Amino acid sequence: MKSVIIVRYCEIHLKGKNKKFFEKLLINAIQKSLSDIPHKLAVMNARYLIEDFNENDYDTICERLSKIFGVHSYSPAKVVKSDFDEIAKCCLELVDGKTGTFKVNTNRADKKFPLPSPQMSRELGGVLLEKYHENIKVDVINPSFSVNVDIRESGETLIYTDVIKGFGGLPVGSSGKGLLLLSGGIDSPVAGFMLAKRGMKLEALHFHSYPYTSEQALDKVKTLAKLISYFTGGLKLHIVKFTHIQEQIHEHCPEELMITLMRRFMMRIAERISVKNGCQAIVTGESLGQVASQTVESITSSNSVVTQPVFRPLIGFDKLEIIEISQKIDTFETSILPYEDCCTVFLPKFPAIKPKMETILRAESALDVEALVESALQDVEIFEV
Amino acid sequence: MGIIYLDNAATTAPNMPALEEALSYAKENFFNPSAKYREAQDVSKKLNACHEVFLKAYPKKKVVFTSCGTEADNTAVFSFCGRGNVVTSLGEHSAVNNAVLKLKEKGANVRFAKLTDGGRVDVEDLLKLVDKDTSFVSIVHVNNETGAINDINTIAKKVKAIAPKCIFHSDGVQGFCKVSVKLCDEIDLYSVSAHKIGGLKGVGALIVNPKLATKPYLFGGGQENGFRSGTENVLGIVQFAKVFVQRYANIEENYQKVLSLKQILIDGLDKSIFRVVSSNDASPYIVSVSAVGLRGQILQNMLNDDGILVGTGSACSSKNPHSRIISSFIQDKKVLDGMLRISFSPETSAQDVKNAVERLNFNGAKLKQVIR
Repeated sequence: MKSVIIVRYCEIHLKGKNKKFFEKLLINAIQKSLSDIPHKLAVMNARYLIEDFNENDYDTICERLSKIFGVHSYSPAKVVKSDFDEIAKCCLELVDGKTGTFKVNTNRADKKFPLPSPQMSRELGGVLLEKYHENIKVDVINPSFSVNVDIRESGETLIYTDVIKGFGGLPVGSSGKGLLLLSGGIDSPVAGFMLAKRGMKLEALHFHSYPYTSEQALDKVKTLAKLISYFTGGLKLHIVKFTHIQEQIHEHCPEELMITLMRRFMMRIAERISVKNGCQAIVTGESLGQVASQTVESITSSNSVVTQPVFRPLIGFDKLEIIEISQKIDTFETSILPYEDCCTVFLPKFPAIKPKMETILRAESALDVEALVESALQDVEIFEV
Repeated sequence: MGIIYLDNAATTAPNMPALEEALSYAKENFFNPSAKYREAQDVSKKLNACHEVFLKAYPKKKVVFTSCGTEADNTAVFSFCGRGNVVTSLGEHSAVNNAVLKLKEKGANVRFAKLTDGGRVDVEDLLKLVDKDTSFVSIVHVNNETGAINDINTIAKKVKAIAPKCIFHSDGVQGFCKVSVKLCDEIDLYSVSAHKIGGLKGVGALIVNPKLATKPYLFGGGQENGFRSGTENVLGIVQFAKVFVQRYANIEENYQKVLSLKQILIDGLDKSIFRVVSSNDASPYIVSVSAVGLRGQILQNMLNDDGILVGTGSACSSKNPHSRIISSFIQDKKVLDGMLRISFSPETSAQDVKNAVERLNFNGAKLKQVIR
């Protein structure tokens, strides 16, 4: 009896002729993620089998699988010879300690196996009840767990009880590449996660305002980049020094437009970096109405300076819903570390909530926009995880 | 330009000649002083000699070496708090504050005396909190954020007049070898740390009234006469003893020197930007100033770029943005936002302070212009 892990994928079923492309990306993602763990990856029909790994690595493998998009679910399973006694013995072992209702599902691909599936399930059910009747009861309609017996044509049988859900989604790289604006707060890592889940490969961009924000604030963003990289299979973080632009806006433009104008500069710089790095979209963590810069008027203003699509996966989410996801993907604790992000220092007392386009343009005309954007692009630090 | 280091209350540069003299205890004389062969016993004798060095300065006490000031404070609190109430102040270092909060969590009656301007303990308020059931009192000697000096001898005597049986502890980490004090009999425990006076990190001591029962905080092989188990940090202790001799002998002279540094700083600061929070009679080694209405952390970053290292009261954080100690006697948010801690050592040069003042004024003015 040996241990294996069955990996199932989702949605890829739907992808008719493109299926091979998606499958290849998923296999690559699994192999990259497990590259430092000795194992074998076997491709079966509509699922993969991870085998020949060290038992001590089991938890690490599961942890990594749970972060690969395109994985629908996975199951720790046992492989035995297709022989009734051996199968029964293995089932008894797997059910040991379980309580509640159960059923046995048999799938007999190997038609040479003497017992037909329904009969096999009944017989195994009988064996299990005989030993554990004090703890378990049969319920074929709504069981609390299932014992799955998969009799393969190879002469081996796969047996498992647990099905652990993955995040689903599509393998990263199957939906192009985007540039994520990463602030250091709670929302942007979640936005990145959401689009990576839909198969988008990501790079990230952070605006750093030293000395108005600290080196620790930048370290925190780097930590977040690292946490996101577990889902995206690596992440390239572009760090743009934003201080000079902030000072210029502060000096030459009305206070209440500070944030509005900052956002416009950020979007311009983002698009240039995006295009230069082969990204096809800009991704932000904006959520409608959350702060002054996220009203429809403010978003219209920042959106109007770029032509690339801007994806805002959190636009309809409440803060609490966003926090829930950030906790699930382990970025929350880092996001709430108490360092300021670039906006707080220059935060006007009364920011414009519904800025008018002509007011914005008039204010902006006090600045040499193109020169400021260009000079910011001259000094971009790259941090790769 | 080299670095101008003005965060000596955080730590000091180790005294290198003392370290080189002590280095043989990390090299050829590496033996465990608890072992019985001659080589190890020689190391043990050296440790005894180090104890003697301290006893010369504190003749009526005994000295227990620890791994740091925090361990000394924790030993005092957790080994000597009795059944009665515990009285301390709002001006204690976290090593005392968080330790007594732990006791409070377990049900102890812990009372905190208020601070007056400059961060000194309000003695009148303190004495109101002490009663005959008080089992333990802990009052910091020199406040680690403002330099405020508490007259611990007088306080200890007054406390014992009310609660003769209580144990009196003082955290002396920022006063030790800097502010002259002859510890009176009423002070039972005094915590010190090596790395604030040119010693190495990882060495501290608890100076103990020998009449107290031995109540260890760490149990094990019974080192330090059973008071503090754990193999001794011989290198650190030997270096500490050497530094101590020099620093103890020069307390007065160094005090006057550092006082003149403080004066240069205070005289030079642009008063339209900065407000000095430390009082005139505070320890000159620590000067808290506030760039009122600005943010200390930003100023710290700007000075950092100029090669000047200063401390902030606390990190600029949205959760707990202000110093626990300073906000207990100053409520003005603008003052609290702008806190900087500048701390000297006797090695600091007057020219360094002058240069730092110039950059403080320059960056303060620059920042003031940015933040309207």
